[in-house]
Amino acid sequence: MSERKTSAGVRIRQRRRSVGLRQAELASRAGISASYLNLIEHDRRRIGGKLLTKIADVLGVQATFLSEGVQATKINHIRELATPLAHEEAVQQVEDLATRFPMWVDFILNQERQKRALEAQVNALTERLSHDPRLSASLHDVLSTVTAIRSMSAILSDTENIEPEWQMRFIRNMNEESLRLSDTAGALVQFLETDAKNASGLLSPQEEVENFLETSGFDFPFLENENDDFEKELHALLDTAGLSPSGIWLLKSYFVQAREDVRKLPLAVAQSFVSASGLDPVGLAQMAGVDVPTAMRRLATLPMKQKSEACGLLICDAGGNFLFHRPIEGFRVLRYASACPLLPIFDALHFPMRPIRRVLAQNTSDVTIFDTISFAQATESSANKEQPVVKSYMFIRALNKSGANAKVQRLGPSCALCSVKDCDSRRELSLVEEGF
Amino acid sequence: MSKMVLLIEDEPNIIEAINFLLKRDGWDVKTHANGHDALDAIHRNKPDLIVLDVMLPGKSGYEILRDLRTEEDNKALPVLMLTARVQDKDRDLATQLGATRFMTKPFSNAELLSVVRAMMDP
Repeated sequence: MSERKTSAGVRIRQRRRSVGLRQAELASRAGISASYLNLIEHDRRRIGGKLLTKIADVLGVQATFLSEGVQATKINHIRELATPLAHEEAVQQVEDLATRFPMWVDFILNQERQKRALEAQVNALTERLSHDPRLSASLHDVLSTVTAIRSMSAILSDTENIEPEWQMRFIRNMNEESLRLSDTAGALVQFLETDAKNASGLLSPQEEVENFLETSGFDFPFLENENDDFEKELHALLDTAGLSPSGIWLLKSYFVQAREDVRKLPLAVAQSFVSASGLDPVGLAQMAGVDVPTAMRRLATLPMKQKSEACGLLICDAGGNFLFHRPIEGFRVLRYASACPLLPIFDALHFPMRPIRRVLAQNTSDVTIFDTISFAQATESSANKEQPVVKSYMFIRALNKSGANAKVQRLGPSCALCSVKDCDSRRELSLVEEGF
Repeated sequence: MSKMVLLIEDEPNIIEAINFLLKRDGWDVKTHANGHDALDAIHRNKPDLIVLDVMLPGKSGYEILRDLRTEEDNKALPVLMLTARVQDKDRDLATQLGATRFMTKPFSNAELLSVVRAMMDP
């Protein structure tokens, strides 16, 4: 069946099945009855406007994908890419371009995908080279070793009548330093060549934990079980996790918090809410009578099989240091480099207990936008009653652009990787700005 | 009596090399390998010049220098800072905190000796 002849109803049904949603579930989340959705899917009712947008949002696609198919979506995508950059007349010629030169449209979109992949690599490398404390420590180690070798070899070559015992001592020391230098240099090469996700020995404890959780799909049945085996299962898991001692400590803290979250928000309650209302942490907190951070953690760490759309979560302390990051595709967060100060997670620290909602897009050419809710909370410290522990949370969901009515705030992962011009908060020149 | 250099550095082979060089050049040398009680070592030894590494266990060279310069008796004590860091901001920080001279690793032995002689006999 050619794309033009495939109806919106058929596309909705195909997409719904591909993401594993039952008809009743999609209907409920779109705010219509299952029987009405059935009529739409079998082309017995027309669909458009807000309902089409809502369904597209739930299915994680653009509305044009459902109403007009892949070709129209491609045209829209090119138009969005071109709008900030090209002359208005060129933007109007996009449809003509797509009709007459479809292969060029595919080429342009492919280039855009490659550009994003390269940007992600640049982000990761910049972060490593500029701010990774392990790299900094390794380079310092190399320089100290080289200093010792240089000094000792100069002594041996320049000192006349050097006593034999000093000679032997320096030769032995040089041998020691050479071995150390070769080990450090080898580790550095490995660090620079290996993808951080695959080199667990080179990750920070936080990265180890986040990788472990992501690899497991955040799917830990023992967390949700109501029996008393939690401690035993937890220790068995920690023993086999293969993390560093710091990683194990952090992972244990994660699970202790997660268990408390499960007690306050059982899976059935969370699932039922998500089916009816989607990923809305403020709504879930109100419905379940829990605090917003609990709802955010619960939603962000539900296994994907319990929800049909991905979400991200960022947690920072009062100093702005990131404590936890569940990534969402397209929204880049640099762990070591200084993050953009405009992130609402930082604003929330100044307005504790007040949800701050912002729609964000990273850089001027990105078409994916994100709905974020940030919330900061102070909890009593057991060690120091006079100084509460303050943490800020930012919950992130990808938003279908056609459904975004709120103003979009554009920012970059960090100043060095941000193409937003005229920003009063800029701390350094951008690597991606023309003329850098 | 020879003037005395206090070397505050934690890398054993660098200590040995610098110790050998300075003693051969006629200076009396004492060494101390951690930052945590470096100020006590300075008070105890009363050196004429300090060679101070930046990256030390316990307390950094910058912190030691900052604290040293708050002491009336040690405001003018010559301090040569050694560091593997090469950025301008590190040099500026060392100067701001009161370092007399600043050398980056790796350095040449001849350069080290030349600087120490110049600092001891300005």
